[in-house]
Amino acid sequence: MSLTAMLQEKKATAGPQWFDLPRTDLTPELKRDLQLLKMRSVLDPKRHYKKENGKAKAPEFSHVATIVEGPTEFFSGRLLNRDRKKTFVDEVLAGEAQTGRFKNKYNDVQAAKTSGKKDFYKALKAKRHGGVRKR
Amino acid sequence: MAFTPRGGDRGGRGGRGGPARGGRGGSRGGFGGDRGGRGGGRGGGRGFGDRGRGGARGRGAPRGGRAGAGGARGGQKTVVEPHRHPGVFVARGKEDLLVTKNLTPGESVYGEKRLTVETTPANNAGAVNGEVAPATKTEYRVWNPFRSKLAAGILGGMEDIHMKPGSKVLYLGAASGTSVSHVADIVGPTGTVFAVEFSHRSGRDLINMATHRTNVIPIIEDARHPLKYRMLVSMVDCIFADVAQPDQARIVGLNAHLFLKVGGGVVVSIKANCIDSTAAPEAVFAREVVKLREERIKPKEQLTLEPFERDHAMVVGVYQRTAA
Repeated sequence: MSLTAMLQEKKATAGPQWFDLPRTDLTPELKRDLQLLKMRSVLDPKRHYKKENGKAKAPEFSHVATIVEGPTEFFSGRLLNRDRKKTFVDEVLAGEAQTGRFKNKYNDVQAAKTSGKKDFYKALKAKRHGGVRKR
Repeated sequence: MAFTPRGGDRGGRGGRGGPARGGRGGSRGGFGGDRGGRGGGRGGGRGFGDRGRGGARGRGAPRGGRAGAGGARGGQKTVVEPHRHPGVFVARGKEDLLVTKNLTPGESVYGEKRLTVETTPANNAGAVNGEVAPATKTEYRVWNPFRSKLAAGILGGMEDIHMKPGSKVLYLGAASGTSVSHVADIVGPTGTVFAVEFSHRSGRDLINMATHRTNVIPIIEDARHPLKYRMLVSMVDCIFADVAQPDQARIVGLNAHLFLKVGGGVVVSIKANCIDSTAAPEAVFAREVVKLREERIKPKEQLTLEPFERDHAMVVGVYQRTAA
């Protein structure tokens, strides 16, 4: 086999060293999951992660797995069936619906960003004698 | 130590979780076991694994706290990727978990969490010659670095763990077989783990674990007398020792001379307190490394298991034909 052909032929699995872990099936959902994983440091301000290479690509070989709680943690370490989601992104969005953290953050940023410039001038005009009213 | 009422405060520091590295646990909480009162670490740096928590543990009690009180919960999704070391995987989600592929799907050995992957016929890698492989279930088990020295060493960044799928490992100090089960996962169905444990009590659990894993050979025998179990053990690629005895280096040497192939790996976890509780840990580690050298084990790396265990070191060496 020529070198180019060998390069083109991609391995289907990670090989026996990793028990034939299959090649990543990069569905749009998984792609979004991986993007979010890369940015997970913003999800929880109390949790800190190792820095990651921003340009890191999707893992060559991977699986999507579901966590199964241990036999003793039915009530402590388990999500209710109705709270389970299909993807990591869905889980995070469900959390957002509860906490509203991203929305608050967005509003904070907006408030900070729009505090000057046009807003400043508007406030100034309002403060002027009588204000400038539109008719 | 003057008498002070100790019971109440024992290990009380557990859940505190300091900013940088988690509460340190008062020296000698409770029973003088060094394992009480550590843990914490919530929000400390790593984002890896179940953090050990809550401390009131007695002497020799199992490591690691109640698993799974926080962190990952059943039902969440994670992405499983290969780790740098063969046979080891990382599951990435809101927190990262070290995992090994479960040799006995559907079973959890010591109450640890598992990860399941439903393999549909379409994406099953086992498809041969266009024939559709049946739907199977792949499973991984979460490996808690607070309970296993080897997992702590891997997270600490060991260069080489000297075990991979297919290798034969002699595991000295197997205890109840919790870590052994993960080593058995790593070496897979083509490898073998010879697990030596002296205590009958924990040996019972070890044997129970081995009944479900055909690649584990439990040996309830004193590791000081390797000749007693020489008939059971073949030449091995790696010796892992976690025996916590003052003559640990000698025990490792004896077994290496009998069973370890030349160029095979030696991974020793050294607990400073068990070798010499009066000397400084660093001095104890240095002395142990010298002793290993005398046994023709060339030390390659040494690392502390610090955020996970206190005053422990992992020494990795290579067995040589002639004195190093």
